[in-house]
Amino acid sequence: MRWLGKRRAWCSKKWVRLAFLVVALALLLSFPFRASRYWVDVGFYVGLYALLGLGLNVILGEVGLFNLGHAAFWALGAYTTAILNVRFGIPTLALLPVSALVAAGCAWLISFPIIHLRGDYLCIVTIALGEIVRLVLINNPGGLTGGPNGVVGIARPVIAGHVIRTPTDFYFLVWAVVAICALALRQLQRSRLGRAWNYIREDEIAAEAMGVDVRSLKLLAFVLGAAAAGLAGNIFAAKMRMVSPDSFTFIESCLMFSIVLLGGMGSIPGTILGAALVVLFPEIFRPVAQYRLLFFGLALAATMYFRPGGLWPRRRTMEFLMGQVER
Amino acid sequence: MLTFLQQLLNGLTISSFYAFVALGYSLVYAILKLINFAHGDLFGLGAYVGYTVFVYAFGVIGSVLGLWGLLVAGFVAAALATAGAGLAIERVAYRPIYPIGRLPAVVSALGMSIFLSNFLMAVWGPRYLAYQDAFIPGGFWQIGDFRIRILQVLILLSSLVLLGILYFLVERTTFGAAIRAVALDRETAALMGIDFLRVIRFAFAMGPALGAIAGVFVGMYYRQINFTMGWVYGLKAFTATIMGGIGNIPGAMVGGVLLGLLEAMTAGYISAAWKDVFVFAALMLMLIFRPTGLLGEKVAEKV
Amino acid sequence: MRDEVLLETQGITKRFRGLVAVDKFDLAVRKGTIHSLIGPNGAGKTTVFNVITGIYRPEDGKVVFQGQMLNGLKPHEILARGIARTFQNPRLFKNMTCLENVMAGGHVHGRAGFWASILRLPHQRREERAIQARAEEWLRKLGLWYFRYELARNIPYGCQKLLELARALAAQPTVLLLDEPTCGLNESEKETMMNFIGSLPKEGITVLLVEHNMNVVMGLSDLITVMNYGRKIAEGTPEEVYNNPVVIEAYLGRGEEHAIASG
Repeated sequence: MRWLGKRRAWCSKKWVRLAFLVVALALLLSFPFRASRYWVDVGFYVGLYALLGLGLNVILGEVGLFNLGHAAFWALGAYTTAILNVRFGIPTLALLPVSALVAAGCAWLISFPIIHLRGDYLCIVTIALGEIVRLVLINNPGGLTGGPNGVVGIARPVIAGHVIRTPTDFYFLVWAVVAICALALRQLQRSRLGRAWNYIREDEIAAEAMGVDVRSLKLLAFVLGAAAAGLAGNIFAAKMRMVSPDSFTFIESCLMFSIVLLGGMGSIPGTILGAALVVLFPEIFRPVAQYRLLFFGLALAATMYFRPGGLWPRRRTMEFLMGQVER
Repeated sequence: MLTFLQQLLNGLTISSFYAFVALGYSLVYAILKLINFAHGDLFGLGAYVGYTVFVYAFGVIGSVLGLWGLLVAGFVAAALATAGAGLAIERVAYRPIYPIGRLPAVVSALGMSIFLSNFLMAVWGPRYLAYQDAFIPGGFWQIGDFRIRILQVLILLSSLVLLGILYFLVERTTFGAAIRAVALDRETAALMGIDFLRVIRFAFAMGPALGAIAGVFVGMYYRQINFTMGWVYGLKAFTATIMGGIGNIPGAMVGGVLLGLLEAMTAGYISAAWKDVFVFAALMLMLIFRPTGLLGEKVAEKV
Repeated sequence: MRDEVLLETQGITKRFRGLVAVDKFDLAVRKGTIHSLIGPNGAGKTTVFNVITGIYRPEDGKVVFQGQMLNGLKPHEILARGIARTFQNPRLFKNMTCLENVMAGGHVHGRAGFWASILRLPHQRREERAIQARAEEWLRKLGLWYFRYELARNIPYGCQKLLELARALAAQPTVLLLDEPTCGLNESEKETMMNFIGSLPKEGITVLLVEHNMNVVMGLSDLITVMNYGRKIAEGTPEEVYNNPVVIEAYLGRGEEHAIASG
């Protein structure tokens, strides 16, 4: 394991990180057998949002592209699964890669005209995109999307004869996907491509001057992020057995955005932590349920003040903050 | 032809709403390069404050100032309340975070937006609240089949007057020059002795205040308000801002007009359900082909 | 061969909405030389750099490198062909370590793709090690080894300029375009930089230099081209340019010859 940061913090020791990983894995695997059905469900949602967050992390965290319409890719994946399964009978599990591909394909198509846009403008375009997708889904063109009621009756996925039905089943499914994606993304992070993404985030012009094909790499990031969201869409559709436009609102995109920023841009464990926080937050505040989002809004602002690098920042972001916080 | 004129009038009315809100976005963005996501919710706050004044202070103020006095009081209260809220938000959620970076500031703005809309829900409840007819200037003029609501006339007049004043302020006064200077180059403006804080306070007071007035008007026009209205209007007004060129103040007004007309025409001629899609699609096309907006934004990066 | 022209611009013109920044500019850089481009502020020197490296497209004219036209190529493609540059104000990747910054130079020649990176195939691992090794080598050569794990934003300005140079060199360029490399450096840093640049042709790197510091220009250059208002006004060896009245006038205005008399 090579690395490029200072060997200062205790968590930098290789064995410590490995031990930590083992413990986390053990907890993750044993959790559903010791918790109630309700909490396993919560665990599922943490995994789902972690998957969504990881996808957005590539776009926003690694490359620095402001994407506030990530829910649109999620929706595309979910609806692909729903429509192809309900109307054409294609098995749900087989649609897992299909959903990812459709979402990724749409991302590729739509990125072409917008990929060169500057930060804030890209932000707005993605917001508009998210809304357009949601509105199109509501308006039910060609009777395909089922309008505001969506599509119902999605079949459960079947792996080698075993039907994935209970919260525990879905918990393991989503976390397995999260694990694979996290691993793949981590390898990318440490490669030439991952560094190139970061160069683009730091200074696009300098990156281009240093031989980084900025346009292609931005496209790649969008496509990858969308693919992850597509996977999440398939799993979500399979769990809920129905999809409707209400699940894919701008607020969801905001939540995903917040997950990446809360956890720390470009940080994979941070994103997972961010997902946990975002999902658990309403649970903790359940007693004052109607005020939950109120506190969440405040918490967002507060976190940005106290931990602008996120709660589990990438190593170098941590050093940056420990150094000086000047512009 | 008749439908066209009717839609034109409707469109212009809606334009005024968007223009009011768009100005707030533009002002703040021009000065701080920050998209104040909470702005739309401040507009919603204005609508609610107006409602509260009308419903609860009816007895007290109504007997002293009469019906029109009550209405004016409602507007004033809404404007003051949102100006105060705007200043508070700036002081608490933006000023400490802005030096850290733009991305944390954006997230903070998002947080404030979520906070505000839920605050409205918490205080006034999640259901739609009705602006009662007693408080809405009623009546209309009928010219053949063409109907003009007095309210629409009021809205259009107010927007012309207020926006005109603002335009004059920004383009023709010294303070306006200060605002424009800060928008162009903050540090140099400060070096030239311009009180940057004063300009910020102006933006965060004036913008929301205008939004509040629009909020009360919207309540009157559509007869009901809801805590989510801020977000919908905010997003569309933001579209208007972009159309006119973000950071450009006359542009915000132009953008508002364009957007209102586009929306009304689409709703009238194509379909009400698809009007929003058209609006957002227009936004995207605009950004792809003419990102500086119709009146242009001064963007340049020296390599 | 010393006389071979490696990089040239032929009649390039660059306009910005009515302002002509570069006007029918010809430049020929010969292999193995250090060629300086000088001129008063605003003469268009950086614009010429930006045209050569593909950041700007010229309204007219051609950029030719090793016999091939570069017009229309994007900056990263131009780097791949062998032309690297530094910027007037260092454009480093501020929140990344110095080592990571210099490793950027290795990006363009890397071949490992998406799947190779995810699966960590042997050739990808080898390539990663090679990129890192070369980056470390350049850090050592420029005296930045101590800062290798430090964030680029935290190192002193002089070192930042050296870092940018290291980054450009790590890309194994044939031609290096340096935009005011000694700007902002103190005297001893200037000398270090100067000596280092002077050693580059021996390593097979041709240098095109924009500079304001006359000592550096006179001391290093094999050939000097002088620009003003976007046009070439003089060209020659340091001695020829130094005494050229047109050049003197461009920098100092008329009636100032006495200031040069002592040189």
